[in-house]
Amino acid sequence: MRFKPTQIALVIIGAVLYGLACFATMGIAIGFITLRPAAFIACAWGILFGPWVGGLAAAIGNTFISDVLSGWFGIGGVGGFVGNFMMGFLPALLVKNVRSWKQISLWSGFSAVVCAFFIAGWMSLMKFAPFWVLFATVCASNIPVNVICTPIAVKYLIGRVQKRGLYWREAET
Amino acid sequence: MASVIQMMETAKTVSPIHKLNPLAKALWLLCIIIIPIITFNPFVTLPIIAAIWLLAIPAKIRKPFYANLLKTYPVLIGFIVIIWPFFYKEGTHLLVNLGVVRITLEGIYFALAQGLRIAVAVTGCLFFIMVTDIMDLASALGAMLQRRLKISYTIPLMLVSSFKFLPEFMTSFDAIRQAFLTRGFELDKGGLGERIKKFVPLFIPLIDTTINKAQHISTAMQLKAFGIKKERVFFVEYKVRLADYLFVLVGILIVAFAIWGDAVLLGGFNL
Repeated sequence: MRFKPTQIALVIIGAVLYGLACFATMGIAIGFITLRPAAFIACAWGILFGPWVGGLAAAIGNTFISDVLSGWFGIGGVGGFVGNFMMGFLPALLVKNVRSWKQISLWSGFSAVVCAFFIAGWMSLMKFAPFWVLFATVCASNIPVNVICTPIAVKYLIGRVQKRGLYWREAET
Repeated sequence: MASVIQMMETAKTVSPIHKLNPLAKALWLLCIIIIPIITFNPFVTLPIIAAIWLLAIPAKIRKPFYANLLKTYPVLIGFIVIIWPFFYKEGTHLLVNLGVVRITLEGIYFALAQGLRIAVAVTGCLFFIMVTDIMDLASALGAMLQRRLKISYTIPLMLVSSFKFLPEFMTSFDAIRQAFLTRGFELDKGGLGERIKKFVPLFIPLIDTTINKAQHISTAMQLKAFGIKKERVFFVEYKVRLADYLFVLVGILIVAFAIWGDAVLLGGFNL
């Protein structure tokens, strides 16, 4: 896939924003898992700017910024990279109507479950911790945030994004 | 946030280990990450952890490294050590037996071994981060991918650039947070749902500012004809020296030690 300069810039900025926000708000940590009030940024970024931009921004932000800054880089890296990529990628593909909060909530919540599956799957594959414990923890930390905050954030931002001509579904047509 | 600045500054320290090729250090880290996959024998993992702690001396990062580890260990390892005894079904020396909940001495031993296994990865990763400038790593990786594998430098560029913008964003985030706090916005009060909701208005101005920034970056890239030439040139060339080979060799020897220790059940560990 060939990226346009605008997409590259949005990935860079999204990664910094997501990574930094995750790191700044990781007040509560349970083992490898932190409660992430900033998790919605991944979904919102994908819904607004497209699946690849959202996915890559979330993956880079989580693995190469948040994990590096917190000193966890490399441990859950693969699972975290793929899981967070999915959290930015899937809602963008699945949300057809950006004004429908039901769609946004549903698919953002679903993407949190997929993310949890990859993180817990990788960790349990490495035999670091039991699958269900991690799966439940990641789901509990990401689903409420994604379900509540993503529609609010998208509602606030969509107008500004559309005015700038950056909304991905309109930009590509 | 101060810890982030400290971490980034630590990676810029001048020491024999900081001077090594970033790719050599990445290979060394790869070796360390492999170890918890190979074994969780504490008679193997403990000496490896001790060796990494000792490496902090020539790297001149003793104080920040040890302080960071002492903060990280209880959070990361504590969880594993607490959880595993409940899931360990084998073992004959019963300590607690409540029907469904069954904790054995072997279970606790197993949990401690699992904790040490995590400690190897955590210690190695933190050491790597504190002795490697991530921008150097991304740049060296980009050069290697382009020259050897003919892979585009777009992804390494994304990594390098995101690290370049980190301090600027930290300042913006802090300014917005302070602005909210001075208006009496209580971020830390209320139930979980309420607190999560409160974070949204905090991020909206930040996201809005960042979208502006993205447009500026995009314009700058287009003005500089980004992507016109297939191959880019690199400002810094990272040479591979004897010390780099030796450092990678140390990593390989550590892996060999782990394989051997696991095969011979070093220390009689057979869980």
